[in-house]
Amino acid sequence: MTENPVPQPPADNRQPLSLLNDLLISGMLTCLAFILAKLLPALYPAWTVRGLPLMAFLVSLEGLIAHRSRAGRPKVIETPFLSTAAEWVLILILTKLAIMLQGGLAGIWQEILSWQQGFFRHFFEIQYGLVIFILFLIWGITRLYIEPINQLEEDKNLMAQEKLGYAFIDRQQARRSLIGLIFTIGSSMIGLTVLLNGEIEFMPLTETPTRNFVSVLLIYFVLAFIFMALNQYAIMKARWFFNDIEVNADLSKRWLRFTLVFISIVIVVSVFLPTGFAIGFYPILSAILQGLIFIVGVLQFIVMAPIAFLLTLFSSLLSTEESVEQIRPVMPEFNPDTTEAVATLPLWDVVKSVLFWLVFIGVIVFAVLYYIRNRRGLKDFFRFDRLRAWLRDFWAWIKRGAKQLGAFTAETAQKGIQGVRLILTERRVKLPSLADLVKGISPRQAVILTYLDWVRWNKENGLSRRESQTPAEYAAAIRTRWPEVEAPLKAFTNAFIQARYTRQAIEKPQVDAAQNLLKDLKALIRQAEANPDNLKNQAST
Amino acid sequence: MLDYLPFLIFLMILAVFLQAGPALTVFYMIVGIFLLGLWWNKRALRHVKIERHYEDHAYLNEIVHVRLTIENESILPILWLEIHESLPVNLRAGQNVKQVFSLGIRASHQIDYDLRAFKRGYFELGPTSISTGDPLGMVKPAQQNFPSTLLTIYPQIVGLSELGLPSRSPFGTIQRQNPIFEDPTRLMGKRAFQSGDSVRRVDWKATAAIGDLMVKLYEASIALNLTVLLDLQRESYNIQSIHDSTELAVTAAASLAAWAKRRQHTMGLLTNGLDPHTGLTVEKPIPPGKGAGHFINVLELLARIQIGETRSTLQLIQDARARLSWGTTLIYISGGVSTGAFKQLFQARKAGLNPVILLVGHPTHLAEDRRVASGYHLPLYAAGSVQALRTMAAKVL
Repeated sequence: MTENPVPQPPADNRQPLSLLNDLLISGMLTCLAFILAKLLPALYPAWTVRGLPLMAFLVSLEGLIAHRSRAGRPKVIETPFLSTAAEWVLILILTKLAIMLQGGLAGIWQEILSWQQGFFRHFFEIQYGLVIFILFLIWGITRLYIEPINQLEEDKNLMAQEKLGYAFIDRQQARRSLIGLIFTIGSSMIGLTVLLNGEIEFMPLTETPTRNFVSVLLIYFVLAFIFMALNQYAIMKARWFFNDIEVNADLSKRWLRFTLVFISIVIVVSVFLPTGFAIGFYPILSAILQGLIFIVGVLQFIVMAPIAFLLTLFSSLLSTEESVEQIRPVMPEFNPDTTEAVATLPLWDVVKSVLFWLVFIGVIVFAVLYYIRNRRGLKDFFRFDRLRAWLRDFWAWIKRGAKQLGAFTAETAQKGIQGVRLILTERRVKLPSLADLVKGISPRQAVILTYLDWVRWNKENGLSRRESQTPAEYAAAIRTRWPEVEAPLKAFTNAFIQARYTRQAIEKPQVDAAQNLLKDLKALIRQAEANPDNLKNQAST
Repeated sequence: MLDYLPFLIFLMILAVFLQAGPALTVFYMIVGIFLLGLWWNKRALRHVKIERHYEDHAYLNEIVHVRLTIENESILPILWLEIHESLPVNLRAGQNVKQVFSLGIRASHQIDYDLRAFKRGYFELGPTSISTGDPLGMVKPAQQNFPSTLLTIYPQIVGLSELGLPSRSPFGTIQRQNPIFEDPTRLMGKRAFQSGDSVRRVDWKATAAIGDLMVKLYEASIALNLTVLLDLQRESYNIQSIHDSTELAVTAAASLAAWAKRRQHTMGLLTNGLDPHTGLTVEKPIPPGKGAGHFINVLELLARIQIGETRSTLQLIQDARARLSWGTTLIYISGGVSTGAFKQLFQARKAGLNPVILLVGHPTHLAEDRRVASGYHLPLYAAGSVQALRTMAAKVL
């Protein structure tokens, strides 16, 4: 390609494409006629007519061609009713002739003779009537195809007018109409096939094998897909033309080839995919659930086994043999209900069933998701925003709660540890009081102990007693520092000297007096330490 | 696909409740076509590679040939590939490249088109979008975008062969008759020592050879340190002709750069325009320099530059005063000069620079500007068109 040229209107290849479309439609309706032809003997056992699909093909093709030829003529000289009537007279005669020919020349002669005994009764006999009914149905369906087909087919002049804005054709709507028509007929055909192959009491079974019906259905849908692909090409080509997009000349041929390859791949895959299931959905689901439960049981066993073993050991220590038996874990057994059912089936059927349900459920899930994704309202509805927000809030709440709980636990634990530590500390520091200690000893020892407590207390306050100091010297040293304690100190020191260095009897009241003196001494010294000015004044005075 | 959904539901019902094999086959077929189309489209598009081959720099009015190569690197053929390449309106007159074609297995397709460089600038070729779909139209067409690439078109250059500009720089490349400044690197000859000659001028080798005191004679010369101050602030231009005037200003700057390059003068560029490459006002000036590389740098910036909003003219001149060395010729190109700008330029003159004002386009108060400029002893030239720019060069001589 060189410079971007101005796109020309699509090449006028309408004739071959129209012919191809006609053949495809006629082919599809022939498939319908085939199934109807199989239905008629079931309804009317005396049915002997053959070649109904061929007749349907010809009638359909004739209908399409006749319509196209009429469409090409000016509307002034066109008389639709007369044309249609002539068309039907021809169809009636040719159909009768075709049926008569099936009976041979003798049959034709016999038929003609029978007309003398009542023309309408013998001419329009039941089989002929049924054939005409089927053909009229086919012809009518053919007419339904014509309008959308006309809209979708390339028309150079019309497209040029559309581009200028003088005309508008809703091609997508036409395509939707065609799709609706194709799949309605297809559904009917599938329904009839199921009816004919099913075990229905009032319907005699057809002798035609199922594969024939499947083949006819496949042919119908292959033709339908090719037909749809051609229409899609027409839509795309029109769009490209309206948007001034240059299109490669060989695209139409490639489109057809590609469609054939594309559909062939799908058919090959579709034919080999399982179409039957020996095991129903619920047994399969039940088996899967049981399998899951079995896996959970195995995991539980793996987790519980060591714990159970430890419990067993403890139990053995306590010699409770009964409990050992009770807490022994049991390996779960996988025993689905479908085992018996499956056992009687070949393995391939089981695999096919599982595969079928997997494919089936997968396709349904995918179709639903795709449908939701392409519907904005539904998509918004199923966005789970609220649920997600709620879950997020809930999770935040859980996290916050856990955090608070952790903080509370840590604080409590810390407090507990501190409390324990404090208790231990107090226990270590809080030695028995002097009053408690002296309760259990003799008064002499109590007085001496009281004095020792006095010495210890002074040491803590920075006035240690040297070993060389006598109690009187020590008292003098204290007096030098705290003169205000002179009187009680003298009495206290004398009490100690009496208890320590004499044999005089020491009684309980003396112990109490010594302890009271000690209290007074300590109080005075504390007071003096709190008011050093007083101390200095006192010292100076 | 949505059109087929009722039918699919019908098939599912038949398949499950009646265990109908034919229904399932058809069901698989429809879903298979859909899935295959979906997968095919996405996979095929992922392996499409697009390359754009062209000269990414061009001069004004040149034709740029672009070759777009679309390659399918996948083993999956692509039935139809719609390509849409957006192109700048100024280069293609609004015609984008749009095409539909098929791509076979590992095949490639080439699209050639030409762009005409009608306008200087910094243009984006692209972005390019491609889309493809399945033959039956069951799947929504998949689309992929490819990033754009850049094309720089240099501004127009007018021949200013006779342009004469003053300079105060004593040593340089332009020979002058005025012997006030002599260039010691330009030896003209020797003569006998005369009373009053500097001892520094004594040529001792010649003196030794001749046996008499000889002194060197030097040529007088100047150097033209040129700096273009391109004012692209919107307020500086007459709003009615702002587009043409700014383009003319850029043309004048480019022409001066070309002239300086030809004459081997140093040339720098300061501007307050917007650089679309960074999306910001040009903060850093191109310092004075020589040579082809430097010239291309200047042209690159001039090709991209657009009207700016943020940096004022006064700030631009102040920056120039602070940055430029003594004796530099400062060519202030703008669409008009404000009182403040006159004062700043006068200050620049007092600071030893040589300001020259070049007004382009259609200044609103040209006569008034001339009067003020003469009052400040600042040379002022005006050019309303490219042709006037050429003749102005002659007048300057």
